[in-house]
Amino acid sequence: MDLARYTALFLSDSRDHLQRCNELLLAWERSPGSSTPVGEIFRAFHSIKGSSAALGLDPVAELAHAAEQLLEAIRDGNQSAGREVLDALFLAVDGLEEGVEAVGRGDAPRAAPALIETLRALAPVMPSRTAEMPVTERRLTERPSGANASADGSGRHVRVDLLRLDALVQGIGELMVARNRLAALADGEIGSELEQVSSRISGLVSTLQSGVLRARMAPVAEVFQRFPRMIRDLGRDLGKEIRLDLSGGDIELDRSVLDALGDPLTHLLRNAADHGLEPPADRARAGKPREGVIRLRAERARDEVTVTVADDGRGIDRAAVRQHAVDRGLLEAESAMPDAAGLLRLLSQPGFTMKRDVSRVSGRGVGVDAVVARIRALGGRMELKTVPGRGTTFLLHLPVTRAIVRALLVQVGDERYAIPFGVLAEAGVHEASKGEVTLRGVPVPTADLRDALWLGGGRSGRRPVVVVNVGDHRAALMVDSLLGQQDVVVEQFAAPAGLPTWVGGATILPDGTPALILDPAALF
Amino acid sequence: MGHTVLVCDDAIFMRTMITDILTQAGYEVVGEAESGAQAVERYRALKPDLVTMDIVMPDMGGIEAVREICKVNPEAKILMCSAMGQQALVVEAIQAGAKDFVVKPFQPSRVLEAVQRLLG
Repeated sequence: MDLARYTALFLSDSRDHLQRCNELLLAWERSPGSSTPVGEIFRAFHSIKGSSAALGLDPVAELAHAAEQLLEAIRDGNQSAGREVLDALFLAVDGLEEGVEAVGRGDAPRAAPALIETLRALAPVMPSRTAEMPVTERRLTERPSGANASADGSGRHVRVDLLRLDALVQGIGELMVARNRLAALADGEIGSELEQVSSRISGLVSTLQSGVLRARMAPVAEVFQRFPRMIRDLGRDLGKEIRLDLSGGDIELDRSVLDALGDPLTHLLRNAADHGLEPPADRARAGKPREGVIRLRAERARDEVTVTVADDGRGIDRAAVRQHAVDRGLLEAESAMPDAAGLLRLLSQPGFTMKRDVSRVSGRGVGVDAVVARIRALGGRMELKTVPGRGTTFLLHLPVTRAIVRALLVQVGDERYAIPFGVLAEAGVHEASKGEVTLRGVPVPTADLRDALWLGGGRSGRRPVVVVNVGDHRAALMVDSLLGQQDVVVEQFAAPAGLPTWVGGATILPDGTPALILDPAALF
Repeated sequence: MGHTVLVCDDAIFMRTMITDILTQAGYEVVGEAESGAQAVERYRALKPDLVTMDIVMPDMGGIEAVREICKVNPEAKILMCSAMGQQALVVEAIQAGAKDFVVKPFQPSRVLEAVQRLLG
């Protein structure tokens, strides 16, 4: 039999089941009195037992069997769903997850005799009485979004390996390059047959491109859904009462963005739970509800998706962060109190960890630099809002896709560079004096790309300028010339060591030459 | 002409596996069902020569589905697929009208043997 194919099925199936188990157990734990999801959890364990046994994965099958029996005991009234039992079931899900992921890595799953013993001890077994689950059991009305949705018949889905979609995007990327070259040829022959065919092909390729990009989209719920369980466990470990509010799970992002989002969000949520939220007693003293709230929300705005991580905790202690920055020589001792953007800039300095010394006072600061770096690498940007005693909010502005972006091409020295439209505010020729551009009477932070590229000779006078949005502010980039707009296919490449942080990627231009894609936010 | 089969199991993994085993042996899998209710509905619609039936399924369990199918056709040939430790249920299924059973995890040869026996 085709082992690889069955293993792949086993993996995707089991992951769905375990995710669903986590959701059901959490709901069960929150409202123990409601119509319990015993039947559905039972079937999930049962299904994993069956497929793992078929693949000869005995450790997984045995664990699933033990968990299944505990549920049977609950259903038959021989055990009640107390805290101890729910904890054991959560552990069983974890154990199965470990087993499944081991298989995913190509390792042999390890046996979990202690856990199986725990489950068995909780399930007074009556071996002769193994009966079917009640057939009249009600289905929960809320369904997990994503993969399972097809079971309803509400939509028909096909599981596609991301590599195949990547290959398609790659193909379309090359097609676009060819289209652009054709368009360049046809440009000289307005009204000719060549020009007509070229423009028809342009339209078709665009349609094809957006179709393929749509096929790569997946709902953020796929990332969000792992967090309720994580926050629950964190709350217990930290001795805090935490409620996690999720919304906007149906907002879609490109698979590649989505896949890279899990770690940064985990980081921010951990920070919020650990450092942002106060212990229940402190909250009560401050006149706040004992239960802290963390909100995780996704919203679509134009060609961006904004993911918000907000807590109603103590907020960041600006003075402490400022002092830390002064101690580390990042700020002058007499400098003003940083605003929100300045605060984020300080927190995102590589290695600006406040772990041991200040984190208790500051409320934050652990590893925000890593998060900022990841979000930038995704072509996104971050924003911070914090109010003492009221809480802290991180906003992650993400591009909907990073496979193909519309960009402004500029020239500096002998090279051409692409600036994504996502960050673009305007472009034009402006007066520059003393290396600073004045926009409608207001001087804005300015960077000369000639300096950034060590070309030297930044000239004053009237210069082509690209104005970009950096956080809440505008900033100006001086270039040598503006070349026009272009859809560019972002080539994923491992950045060579030493490449400046403002290089966000690379692309191939219509004439076949490579160009770097700029991430202007990193220049300011 | 190959005999037609309806494969009922809530796990896509199991459906795929059973379908592969049967298809490779020359049977025609004309449909799949992932719940008892679906199994009954598809049986009515497809009138397959044989049904493989899982015991634990949502909406309507396998045994209930066997009862319903036997109301439609008392001669229906149904092969139960049960997991280890469900012997009591297998007996119940046979009483309800199932003709034979195989135990998961199963050997392909064991499944084919049972199918051949049922289809005579």
